[in-house]
Amino acid sequence: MKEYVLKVSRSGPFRWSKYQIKAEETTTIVELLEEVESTVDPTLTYRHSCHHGSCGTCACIINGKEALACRTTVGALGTEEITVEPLRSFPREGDLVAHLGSMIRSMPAAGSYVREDECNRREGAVFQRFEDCIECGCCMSACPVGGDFIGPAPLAMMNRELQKGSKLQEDIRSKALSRSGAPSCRDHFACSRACPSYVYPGRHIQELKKLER
Amino acid sequence: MERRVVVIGGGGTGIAVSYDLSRRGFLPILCERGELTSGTTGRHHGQLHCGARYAMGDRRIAKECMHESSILRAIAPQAIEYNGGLFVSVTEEDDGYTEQFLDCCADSGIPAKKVPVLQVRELEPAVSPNIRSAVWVPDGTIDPWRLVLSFASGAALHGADLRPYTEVLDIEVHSGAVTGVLVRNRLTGNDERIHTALVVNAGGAWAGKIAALAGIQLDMSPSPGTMAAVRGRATSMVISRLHPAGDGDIIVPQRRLSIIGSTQWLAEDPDRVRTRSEDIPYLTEAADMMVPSFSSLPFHAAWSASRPLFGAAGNERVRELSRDFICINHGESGGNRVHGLVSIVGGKATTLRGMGEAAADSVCSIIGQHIPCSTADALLPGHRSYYSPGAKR
Ligand SMILES: Cc1cc2nc3c(=O)[nH]c(=O)nc-3n(C[C@H](O)[C@H](O)[C@H](O)COP(=O)(O)OP(=O)(O)OC[C@H]3O[C@@H](n4cnc5c(N)ncnc54)[C@H](O)[C@@H]3O)c2cc1C
Ligand code: FES
Repeated sequence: MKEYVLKVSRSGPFRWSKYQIKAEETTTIVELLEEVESTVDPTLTYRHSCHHGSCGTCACIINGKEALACRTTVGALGTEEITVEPLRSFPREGDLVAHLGSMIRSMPAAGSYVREDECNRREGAVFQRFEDCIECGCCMSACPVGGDFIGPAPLAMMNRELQKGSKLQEDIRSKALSRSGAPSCRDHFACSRACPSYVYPGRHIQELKKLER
Repeated sequence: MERRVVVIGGGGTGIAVSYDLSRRGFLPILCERGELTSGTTGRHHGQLHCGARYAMGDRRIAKECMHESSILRAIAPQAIEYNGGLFVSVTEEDDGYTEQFLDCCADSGIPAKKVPVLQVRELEPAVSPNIRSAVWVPDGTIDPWRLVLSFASGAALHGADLRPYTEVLDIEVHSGAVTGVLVRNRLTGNDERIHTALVVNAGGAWAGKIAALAGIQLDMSPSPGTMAAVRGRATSMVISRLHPAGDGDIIVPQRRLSIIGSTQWLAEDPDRVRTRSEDIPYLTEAADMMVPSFSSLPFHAAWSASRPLFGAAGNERVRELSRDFICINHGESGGNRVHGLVSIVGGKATTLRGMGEAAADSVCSIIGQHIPCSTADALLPGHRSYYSPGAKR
């Protein structure tokens, strides 16, 4: 057990709260937040659900970088002071609570992780896999473009839908190639570096750019 | 008709209760102290239980899981990966178990089928070559967050008021009947009194603490377990040990992960549960018995969650507590009675819809109206509808 200082950005008037807390190297940031909430500061608000990098709720900025709080251990960070802030580019509802509605609403309605016709086969199931994007918002927060750019996660999803032969081809294609779509990307690839789920959205956007308009 | 119902707890159960009530014409107000599914529900193992695991012990639960898992596959296909499951026997002791297991599955209406050992490696090449017998069952994988968000979307689209970050501080009781709840909005710090004559306690492992707010004793045994995920899909089906249910005997694939679980102990306080890192080597070794490559896959995460078991038990007997759910109308049973309060606890993530139905039936009986349930054959909206303008999030 070592002592750490957890420094959390608070909502409302600008301020940081600092908590001194003992943890093992393998303790994750979400476990630290839970411990603070249940033992020292019940007013702390943050998002979490699965605790294993699969639901995407716990994304925030840890020591300056987008990351999943449940997949970041204090040992891996290697700093005694750990700062945690909410994702950028989303409205903030609580201390570490970002509202991801704008990103989710830009995603193609049918864009699911398994194709509709792959879902729920009663007999002779073809082996399926939930798709990789966990809709956490890390790539959106890391992307420096801003403005009315649709952003990496929805664009990556649109490209996947086009690859999978979605019924809504034309609709998705015209959105993906519109002015606020792939052409607005400035090739920073910050999205691919930030993605905790191996989606590499930057690669999908490059593929979209190659499509004829 | 009294239409307002305060539902406490935003796990799968409370959200399914709110969904069911909203479809029956009620106006549920769901209060969850954190993010939705931040209690046990988000962290469960992810197995869509067809009931086979319970077939030997409790036929009723097995039947219920078979029934509910079939319904979920039909109403929420986007949140379920239905690849089936294999029960495999790996030791001599497991051997005698197979025929009995098949009989019990048949009695519970579970279409289990024996799979010749040679075929198993064709279906799932990573499964141990030393297995002695195998049985296919209709298990699957649940995406816990997306399944529950689908229910939440359905509830919101039917008018439910879902309030995450809203903690219930008190349940007000006058002359033996519920009159309201005191809640704190944790995002603003503001407290509010909600007048209501109907409250559903869907607090999972915290249900005992919540019932105590109304002066009711409800014995819960919060029973945590550790799970460990490795990177890589070792198998596509759920792989379980063909032996009496124990620790570390289920591997659930989810996304590009494989998850082994679980262990089980008893916690005094569900808010003070620490993930036991010492469980990890035990779990991955147990996984290797079924899938020998498991422990060589890169480690991804370990975490824990508390089972909301109903009843009181010592640490040695906690496995004997039932996995069944129970719905209690506190106006009708128990020493201290409170009219208008219902508790719905226990069960599985797989049985959330059925739990919603039972609690809503109980609310209907309190107000003396018969309104039928309509959740079993209505397709749920996708999880993203939770953020659609109509759902007000
Ligand atoms: C290790 C483990 C593995 C499991 N694996 C599986 C599986 O593979 N398949 C399966 O079907 N089931 C599984 N389960 C069971 C399943 O997870 C639970 O039965 C189910 O999630 C319980 O849901 P719930 O909504 O009743 O409780 P919870 O999800 O715990 O919801 C209760 C909620 O109440 C909230 N709350 C508490 N106090 C208050 C208050 N004062 N005010 C407002 N809100 C409050 C909490 O924050 C919490 O979110 C597993 C359980 C465990 C522990
Ligand atoms: S809590 Fe689900 S991704 Fe971190």
